[in-house]
Amino acid sequence: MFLSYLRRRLAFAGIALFGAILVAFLVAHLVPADPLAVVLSDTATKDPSIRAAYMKRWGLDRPLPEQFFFYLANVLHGDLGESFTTRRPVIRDLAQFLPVTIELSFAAFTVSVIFGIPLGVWAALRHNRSADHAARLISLVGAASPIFWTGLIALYIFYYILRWAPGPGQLDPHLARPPAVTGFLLVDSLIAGRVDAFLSALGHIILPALVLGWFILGLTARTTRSALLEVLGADYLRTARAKGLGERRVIGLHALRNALIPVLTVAGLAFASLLSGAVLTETVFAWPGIGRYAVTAATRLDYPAILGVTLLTAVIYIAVNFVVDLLYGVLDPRIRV
Amino acid sequence: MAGEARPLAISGPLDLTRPARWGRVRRSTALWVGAVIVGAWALIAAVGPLLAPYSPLDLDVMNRLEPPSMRHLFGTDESGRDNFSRVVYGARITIPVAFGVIVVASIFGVGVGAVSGYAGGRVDEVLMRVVDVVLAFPSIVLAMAITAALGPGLPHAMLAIVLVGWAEYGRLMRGQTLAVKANDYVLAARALGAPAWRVLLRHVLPNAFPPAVVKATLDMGGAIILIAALSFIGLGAVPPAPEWGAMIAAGQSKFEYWWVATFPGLAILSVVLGFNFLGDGLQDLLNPRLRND
Repeated sequence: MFLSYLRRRLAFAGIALFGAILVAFLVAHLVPADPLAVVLSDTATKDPSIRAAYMKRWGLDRPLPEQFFFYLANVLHGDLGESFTTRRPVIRDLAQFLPVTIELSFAAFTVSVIFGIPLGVWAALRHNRSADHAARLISLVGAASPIFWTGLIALYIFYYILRWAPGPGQLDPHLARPPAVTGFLLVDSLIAGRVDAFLSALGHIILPALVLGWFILGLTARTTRSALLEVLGADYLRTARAKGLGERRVIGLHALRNALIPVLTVAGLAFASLLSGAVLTETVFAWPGIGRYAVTAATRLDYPAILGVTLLTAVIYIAVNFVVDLLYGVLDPRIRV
Repeated sequence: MAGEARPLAISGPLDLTRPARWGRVRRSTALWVGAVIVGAWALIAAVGPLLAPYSPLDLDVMNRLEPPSMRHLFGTDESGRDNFSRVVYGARITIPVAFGVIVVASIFGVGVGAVSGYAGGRVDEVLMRVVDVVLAFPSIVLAMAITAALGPGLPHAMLAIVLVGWAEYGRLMRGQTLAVKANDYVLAARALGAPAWRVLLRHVLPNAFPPAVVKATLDMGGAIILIAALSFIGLGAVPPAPEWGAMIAAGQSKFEYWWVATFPGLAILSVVLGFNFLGDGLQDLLNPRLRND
């Protein structure tokens, strides 16, 4: 039965992926000018031999539906065209910039869990009292702040006035980057044995991670709160108390463990929305990930790059959703039907 | 793919020591706070020219980047324009634009969702797969791509947000329509021979759409942030226009002139908070069962 559930989820993911490629294709055809402008740089579009080669490769001499299948085949082979700004294949740019974004998202995710879960527990235990309202206000303000502005304000306070945090960027300017092995700067500097680079990178990631983490902290806190409220009246907690366990053990060991299942899945989904929050955070903090790459591409009308990022984020989102759906299926057998 | 299996059943509180109406009083506080904030901003947008002491576009090079003072409440920007007047005029851009975007997106999404839910079968399957695909893109990224493809500018940014935003309404309304469709009065109307469009418009829609109104209110905040974000990046409103996101972009990296970016940001924060409160309160009013605590 689980196999058929798995098959259906996989089919859904496949359809969504196909649709996402179709959407990217359609967006590319919104561009009113030369269709080759979507894959080629300015100077290259003027060279007739390059033009002819690309026309053939992207099937641009064919009718539109047929063009789509060329596009589909190219995308599935990892050919997303060439960025005008970096003059490299988009797929190589993405491979370089994605780990940088994942590193930041992961740090922000950690922040949201470290602060969000205790905040949610605190709010649930003080249900409807001032602590609960305070927690609610914190998450409401977090959800209502434009993240690019929060980032600027954080930089202003912690970098410009207090000098607690280093400025924008991933590393102090005078430090050389360690050779890229994994693409994750923190990991790479450890591999290279560069403690100075590691500490600098750690210092630089804290502020953007806090800003981005606050963005989803509300979600984590609210989910923890309602999930914990739901189990607080459960019989097994009464039993745990009856056998004389301290309140700390009852909440920490028995209640939280059961409450965290929905929290983890919601947090998994939030990871996908972290990626979109990262777009603007990276712009403010001069963080060289796919978000800043996308913004630069969009403002310079670098279509292959922006479509590459668009497609990549959709693929990540679809993949995360697929995993979350599977997790649900594993955790709650009723859903498999 | 997403959507069907999302059974985060969040039931009501089990706290029996406090009477339930406490929650309601608190929620209606949210409703009132939200209504007051949103009302105040609507008023500011309406009477903007009377409130603003200066034109939002007049240059005054002698008084560039002046800190806040009695003459310039929020200081001046890099061209000596009065920041307070610009924040006030910004409300006249952002609020109507967000409203327009949400109205169009929600009407389209509600239409698609209602047809999908009422028709069922193949139509439903196809429409919902389309919804899934649109929802698979992070909204800011897809909106950026569409705006870039169409060419930067506020009208294109609006169109992009509509194209990104309708899908959630589609999914919401489909579920609503399915629930309402099962009612006896719908069956009765159909048995009396009413044509499908009439059943849908007269019987199903009026009973199915209230949650879409709540969602639209909550989404106003999201739309305002998205418009500001696109303008911040440089794809939305064009620079001299007093749009909040564009104003924040102008104050970026000018740390010693903090007032340039701070005040438009506070404007966004307050108006979005207002709409979120209002939406939360409306949610409780229209459907107490959905109260999210």
